[in-house]
This record gives sequence, structure tokens and C-alpha cells, in this order.
Amino acid sequence: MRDDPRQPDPAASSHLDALAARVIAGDEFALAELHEALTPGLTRHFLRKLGGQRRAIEQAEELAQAAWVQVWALLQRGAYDPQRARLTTYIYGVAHIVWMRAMREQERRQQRDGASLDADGVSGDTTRALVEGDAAEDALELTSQIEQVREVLAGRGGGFTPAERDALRAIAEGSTDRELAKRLGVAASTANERRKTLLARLAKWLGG
Amino acid sequence: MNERDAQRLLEMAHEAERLERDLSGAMGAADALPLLAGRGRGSMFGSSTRWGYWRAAIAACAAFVLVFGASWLQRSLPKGTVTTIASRGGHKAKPAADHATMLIALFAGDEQSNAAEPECWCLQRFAPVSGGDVASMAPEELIAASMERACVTSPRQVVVIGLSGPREHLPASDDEARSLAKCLLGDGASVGSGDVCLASSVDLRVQRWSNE
Repeated sequence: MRDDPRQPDPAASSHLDALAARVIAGDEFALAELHEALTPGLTRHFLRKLGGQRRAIEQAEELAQAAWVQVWALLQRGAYDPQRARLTTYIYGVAHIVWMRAMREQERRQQRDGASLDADGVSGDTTRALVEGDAAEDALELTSQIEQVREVLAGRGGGFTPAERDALRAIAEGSTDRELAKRLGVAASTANERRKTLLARLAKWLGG
Repeated sequence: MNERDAQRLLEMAHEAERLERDLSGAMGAADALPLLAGRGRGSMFGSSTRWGYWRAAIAACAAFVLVFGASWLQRSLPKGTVTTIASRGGHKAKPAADHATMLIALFAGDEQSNAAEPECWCLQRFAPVSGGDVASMAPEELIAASMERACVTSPRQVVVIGLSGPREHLPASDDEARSLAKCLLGDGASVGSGDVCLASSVDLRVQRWSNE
């Protein structure tokens, strides 16, 4: 599907890749180092998603811990394939799955208990339950697709021009039609058309 | 695969890039000073109930007000006590283009409000007089700059969080600033691991001013 070989960004991920390789080889010191390297970033990631919810910090830390346990388990089992996605994308995929499971579990609990959807967010029980799941299959498929999109945005696939990639990046950032129009210097209706066209092309390319 | 799936994957790719920056920002954590060293857990905002009250009390002032540091020199700081609650920094050789300094200021004015339950707060971009970052600023500069944009008429207490670092590691919205303030100042649950709240590439200074 790709027309260019994947070229991971070495500056951002080479240290993590090296650590992961050592973890896979059974280096326990590397395991501790990787944990130290991942946990703060993962916690900030979940903090952003939780926004100003009550107990956001504890929840973010719990979710980060759940994601870390999954990443560690998947690395140990050899479930991560560096040929399909860079490690940072893989970690994001696992974190995303942990997040989605947390949301689903929370929704189930709220429906079961009749609780309202308030600002309590994700309960500790929910996040604890996450580590029992298995993210291997989901993560592999999801991260491959995300990696392909990252390659497109980096100009390494899909045949998009720099201007088209800039528009795709604006869409990725959640720009409205009006914001997209301003960025492209066109009318809002034209921006909407371009959005549809670009997404259709991207979907076609990703679908192979 | 349809257009909606493609849009969702685009958004996730964007999130993955942000996480990658977060992770790379955390790589230097070993040389970062412990955040809020010596402080108890959550002493600033007390319990999570208090935090809820604080949130409810928020009346965000004009977000992202550009404050020119020179103005503070022309105005004396109101009488009061300035205390540095936390300081972390010392990053050298910052490229000017992608670095910024921001302030998150929390104001308490009337008798019912205090630093734990402020009346209002501001997120400000800031240009330090020295041209440096928060770690190299004069002790009162943070407080004085915040006073320029005070959102209460007669502040009794102000807590200012000064941040300098790569723009991508600074809060990009009111929500992110609120979340960061909550993380840094505590909600009664956990402020133990300092580098959880901020990338290690961000310099930090937290100061409190009180006229009591």
C-alpha cells in the first residue's frame, strides 16, 4: 500500500526503541528505565484527555499505569512489530485502547448503577479492570493504520502535495470549515468540499 | 474505510504526534529538579471538593492576554509578602522561535475566596523584561506582571504559575491551563511526582503574594 519505505523519526523515538529492544531481550534495568521514560508522558497524555475533571490526576496516573502494563506485557510477548509502526505510535495505540476501554467500562457502570454522567470521570475500579484485558490484536491493527497516516502527514506516502498535507494536518487538529478556509485562503464552502475530497482520497489510500 | 474513519485516524495520528513529543520531553526527566519539592500533597487547593468549588468559581479573564514585561517596572507592586512556592529551571540555549513564557494567575479578592478557592484566573502570554525565562526573572516580576491583568479589583492573594519552554509543551487552551494548574497545585490527592505535570524541558516558578 505504501509507495515509500517507512522512515521513523530517529530523534523522537530512537532512545525508546533502544530501550524497548533491551526490554524484549530481558534486560530488567531497561524495564525500569522504560517505565521511567513512558509514565510521565503517558500521564500528561491522559491528563489532556481528562481535562478539568475531578480526580483527573489520580485517574491519569491510573490510566498511564494501565497503559504501561499493557505496553510492557506486549513487548515481553513479542507482539510489537517495528516494521509496522514506530514504537511511539504503538504506545499511543495501546494508550488509546486503554482509554476507550475505560470509557466503555465507565459507561457500563453508570448504566448499571444508574449513576449520572458527572465529572467524576473514570473510576479506580474501571482502570484496574483494564489491565486484565488484552490489547495485542487491537493495538497492532490500529497502530498500523495510524502509522500510515503519520507517514502521509510526513510526506512519505499517498501522493499528497505539501498544500494538501497542510490541509490534512489542519483537519487532524480539528479545524472547522471556517478555520480551514482561513488557512487555505478559500471560501468556507470550498474548504468543506476540499475536506471531503481529501478525506475520501485518504480513505481510499488507507483502504488499499 | 470511509471518510469518517479517515478523519478519526487523522485525529489519532495528531494525538500520537503529541504523545511522541510528550514522551521525548520526558526523556530528560532525570536531570529535572523535583517539582514542588518539599510541598505536601495537595496543600494548595485542599480537597477535591475544594477543587470543584474552585472550578465553579472560575471566571476566566481574557484568555491569552499578551503582557509586555516592561510595564511592570513602571508600576510598584502592592504591599504584601511574596513567597516562592516552587522553582525548577536552568535550561540553557533556548531557540527563541519555538519557546514561550506563560503565566497562570489565580486571584482571591473578597473575604470568602482564597488561594484554594480563587475568584478568577488568567492565562497570559508573557515577555520577561530580562528576555530570559521564568527561572531567571526578578523575584517580584511574575507577581507584578499578573497584577497588571488582575481580574479582581482588590486582590488579597495571588498565586502565579510561570512557565517557560517549548510552545508544544505549554498549555494551548484554558482547559489545558486549568488541568495543569490543578496538577501542579494539587487537588488533595497527588502532587508527589513532579515531572508528571510538566515536560522536563519546561522551566517553572510558582509564587504566591498575599497582603495579609
